[in-house]
Amino acid sequence: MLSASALVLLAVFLVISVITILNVFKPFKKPLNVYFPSLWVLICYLIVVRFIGAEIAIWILCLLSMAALREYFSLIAIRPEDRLPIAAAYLSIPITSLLIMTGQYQGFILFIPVYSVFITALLATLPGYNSKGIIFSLGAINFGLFLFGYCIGHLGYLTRLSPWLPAMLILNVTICDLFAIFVGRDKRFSLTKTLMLIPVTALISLALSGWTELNTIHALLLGAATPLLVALSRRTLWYLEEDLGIDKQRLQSGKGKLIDPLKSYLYAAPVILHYITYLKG
Amino acid sequence: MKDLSLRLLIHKFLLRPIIRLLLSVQVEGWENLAGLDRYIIAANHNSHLDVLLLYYIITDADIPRTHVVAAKDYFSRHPLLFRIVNYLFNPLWIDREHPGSAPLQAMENLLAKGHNIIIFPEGSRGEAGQISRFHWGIGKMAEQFRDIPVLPVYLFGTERALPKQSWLPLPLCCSVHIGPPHRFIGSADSFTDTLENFIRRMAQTEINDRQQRPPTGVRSKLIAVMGIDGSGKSSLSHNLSRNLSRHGEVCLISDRMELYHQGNEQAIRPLFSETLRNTISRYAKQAKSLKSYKLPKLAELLLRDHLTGEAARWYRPDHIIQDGSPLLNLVGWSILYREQAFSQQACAKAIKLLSARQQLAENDPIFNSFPELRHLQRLRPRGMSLPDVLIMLDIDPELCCQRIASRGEPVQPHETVDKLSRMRHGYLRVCEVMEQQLGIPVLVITSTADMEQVSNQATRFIQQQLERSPLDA
Repeated sequence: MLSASALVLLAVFLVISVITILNVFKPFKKPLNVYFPSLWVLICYLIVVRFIGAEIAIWILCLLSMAALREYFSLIAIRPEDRLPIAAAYLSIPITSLLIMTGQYQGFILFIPVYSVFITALLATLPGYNSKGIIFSLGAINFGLFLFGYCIGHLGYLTRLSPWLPAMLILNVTICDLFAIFVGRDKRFSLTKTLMLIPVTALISLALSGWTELNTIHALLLGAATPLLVALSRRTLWYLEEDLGIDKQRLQSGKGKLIDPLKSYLYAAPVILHYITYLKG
Repeated sequence: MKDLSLRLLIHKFLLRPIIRLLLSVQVEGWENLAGLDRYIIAANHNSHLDVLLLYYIITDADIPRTHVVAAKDYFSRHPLLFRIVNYLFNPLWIDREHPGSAPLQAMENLLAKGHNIIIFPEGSRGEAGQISRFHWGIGKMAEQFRDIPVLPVYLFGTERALPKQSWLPLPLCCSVHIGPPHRFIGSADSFTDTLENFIRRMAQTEINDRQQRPPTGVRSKLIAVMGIDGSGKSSLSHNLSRNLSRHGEVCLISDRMELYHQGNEQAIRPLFSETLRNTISRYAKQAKSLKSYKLPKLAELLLRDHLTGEAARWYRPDHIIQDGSPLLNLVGWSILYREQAFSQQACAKAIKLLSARQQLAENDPIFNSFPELRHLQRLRPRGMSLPDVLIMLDIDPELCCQRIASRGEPVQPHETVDKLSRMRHGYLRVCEVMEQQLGIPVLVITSTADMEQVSNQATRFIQQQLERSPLDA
């Protein structure tokens, strides 16, 4: 017999699947038409975590991370000399996944911000004939790697700790995202509207605390922090997307279809993992 | 048949999935290809991946009967590559080393059999991201096979994923834009140009949407509008900003700093130096005498010059329009304070010195006549901005005084017919120096006609001058 938690997860999966299939036959209004397929992917991720195993899920997240990075690299203005640093940036993601899978927290935390940065900088100098724009290039490459390799990697590490931690995060972020889509606040950070979401997400975290194994205080705090982190992340990424030329009304493969739905996790995933690691103990 | 099926299977189950996984190909204009029984595809060429992308967009049924035109001399240098390409794409080999061969005849045979041709009219892979001039062969082909439509196709991203002289393909998203079928009209040359221009337009649309690095080594073109108070230089500056912004971004430095794009004013990020300049400017306008006006006005002009640099640095507009050039105003204004020493020669020296075009000896007599120059030189050691084009509104001072009076605002100490006449004289000397000694194009407008006409005349002059001498110093 399936446990209660597994049944809840399957029910959510079925509901999102039905909505996603309906979207295929009669597309919803933008950007919901893009949001539901990406949400379906994340729910599939949770299904894999719960029923197949965290290891496979971490590698799926690795591919998702690489695809988002590919989209980012396709949109930034790169120089011909930047090919080796870009290849190194791609390679950093499976290495990070390996570190997550083997539970080497220190290695995971340090690898991208320290070693990948060193390596990409070194590789950028290897062609050795053009220094013009190298700082700009390294900044752009490492920023992308940081966002889509490192920050998303935290979701993978949360998965390793407990399959219900990413479930809590995905559920809370989905509520914040849907609220943002319907209320239509993307660029402007509205404290009032963010505060309205806090009781909802705090209660959801509390309701899931039996499975996430967080005590009441931690669950309430993390639930309350999520809308704030999502709002800040959406606001920051709004500017980034605008500079990348991503048209929110025409999200296409290679032009924001992956970056846009992932943006809400970029602040929340690292902060929640660090909170759990350092404060919860 | 077995061979064909294997080739189809390789395309369908190996190459296409790899291309999809690696390059996440986005196709636009698929409907242009649908329903055509025969076609010629003309595409831009920057990478070896281009062929794979073109085979990605055609139907399964078209794979065995589509041939890419390829250079035999290039591929035959690598026997293994030659065999692979020959098997997978069944190319129409062109021997560039023996141009006597008859490729058109071979194409005719294939097209007569109901096959399709893929051709890269640039001839070979050009510089990454650049479209080279098309060879007229595509026009000649279209002329010969008039009943077969030519599809212009723009490929984006392959030049980044696998550029010329690279061996490592990078996973980067690519896009394919299929244009509508073109039928031959006119001459081979004009048809070739039509196709090339169509592909260039598709490229521009794609590139415009994407992130672009700030250009290096390209500076904003500086246009100054001069004239005494009441001459209409502010109105002209605004009109010029709107007109020129239809072809790029324009920053106007007037009483207020404004940014224009496509004829409309844009929201602008406030700059501290502008706030400071506005405060000083307001203070200067309250002066009761020329003496008390001098220092705040000088500070305002220096800040306005500083603001020109700030505008270029932060907004990177294509043009900066100065409603009154700080440097030239400063020199022209000196006639009000030291009329005896004012001359064309003194103007030339002062302009060259303040724009850091020339150093003067410590004991140069100009420093005795205009001791302020020494301080100004120290304040702006790298020189004040010299316009690339100058527009001078030369209007009768009496008319200007009438206009000033009709504004209903407090009259400033220099806004009298006598003083404005002297300033007009000073500005005209400055214009002569600019044109004759510094070679900067100057347009002096004496007409008091409709401002719209004056603006159009000035816009045409600026465009002509900027086209004549690209100013990417």
